[in-house]
Amino acid sequence: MTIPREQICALLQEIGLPAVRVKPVSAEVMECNELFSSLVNAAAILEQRLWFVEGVLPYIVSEDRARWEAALANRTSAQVQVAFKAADGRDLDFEMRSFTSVSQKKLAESMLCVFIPFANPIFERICEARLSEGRELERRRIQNELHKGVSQQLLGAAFGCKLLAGKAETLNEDLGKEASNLAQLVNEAVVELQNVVSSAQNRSRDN
Amino acid sequence: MDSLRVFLVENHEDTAKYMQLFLKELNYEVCTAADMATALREIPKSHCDVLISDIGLPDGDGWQLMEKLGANRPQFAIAMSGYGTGNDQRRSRAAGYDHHLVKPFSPDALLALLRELGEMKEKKT
Repeated sequence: MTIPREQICALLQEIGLPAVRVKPVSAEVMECNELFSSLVNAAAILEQRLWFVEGVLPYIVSEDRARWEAALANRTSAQVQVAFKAADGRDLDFEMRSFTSVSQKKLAESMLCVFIPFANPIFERICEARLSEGRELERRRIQNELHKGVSQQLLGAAFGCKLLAGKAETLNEDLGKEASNLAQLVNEAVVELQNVVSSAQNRSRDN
Repeated sequence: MDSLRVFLVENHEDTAKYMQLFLKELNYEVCTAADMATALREIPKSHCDVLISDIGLPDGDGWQLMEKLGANRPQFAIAMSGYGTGNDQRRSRAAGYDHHLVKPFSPDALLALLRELGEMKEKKT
């Protein structure tokens, strides 16, 4: 599957991953896809990552070389221009950012350090994070709805039914039994709802 | 055994109404307030034995209510809340509530507590 580069860049930036951003959007899709697949693919082998290190870093433009070296030394971020040559000799411009390391020798290791913690493919991680966030928001919404609405009304209904059952018993035995059953039913609903609320609160707290 | 005098602070109109009617039917004397300001004004005059208060009130919360009541606190107090985590329960205890009921609770649960408090009052007198 070929993922649009703009989407890749946006997602990499969104999750704060030391990322590569293409500038401008190049027609050389193969180059970019290979570059990015080495970053976003958790199954990328060491050689692919080394390809990135060896294939991209040498092309940092001379004006940015010092900035890159300083960033390496200081473990800070850097934005540098990389001049690539396409197969037909035209320049391909890339903008790189946030790559740091203590030395050129250890750069391959540092790249691995950056990307290996992402055991799953990045897009799966993003989807999981968003789903998890959505689930938590929904759980809180339901919990609030239960608290402010249903739970309050059910509490009133439980007391109302119990009251009616008590009064009905004095008027008519059968009516009293029916009212008691109704009160019992509401009471069971109260207990059931209490379990749901309690369970939702525990899950929220655990998360 | 003397019936307990109950002061109920609950801002949900229907809940307050049915709780009050239910307790009155069982011979409890019940006064009500729908917010903290009214409760603070009325509780000292009510000479109630038990305060039953919702924690979430429109102009404050049940914990603040207890703090502001100070020496005017009734002998017993029961908190009601939709939230029942350990932290909520501890906070209610720290504020001076004897019990923390998690909404929705059954009328029987409240009755059991009131009977228990009634017996405690009896023993003290």
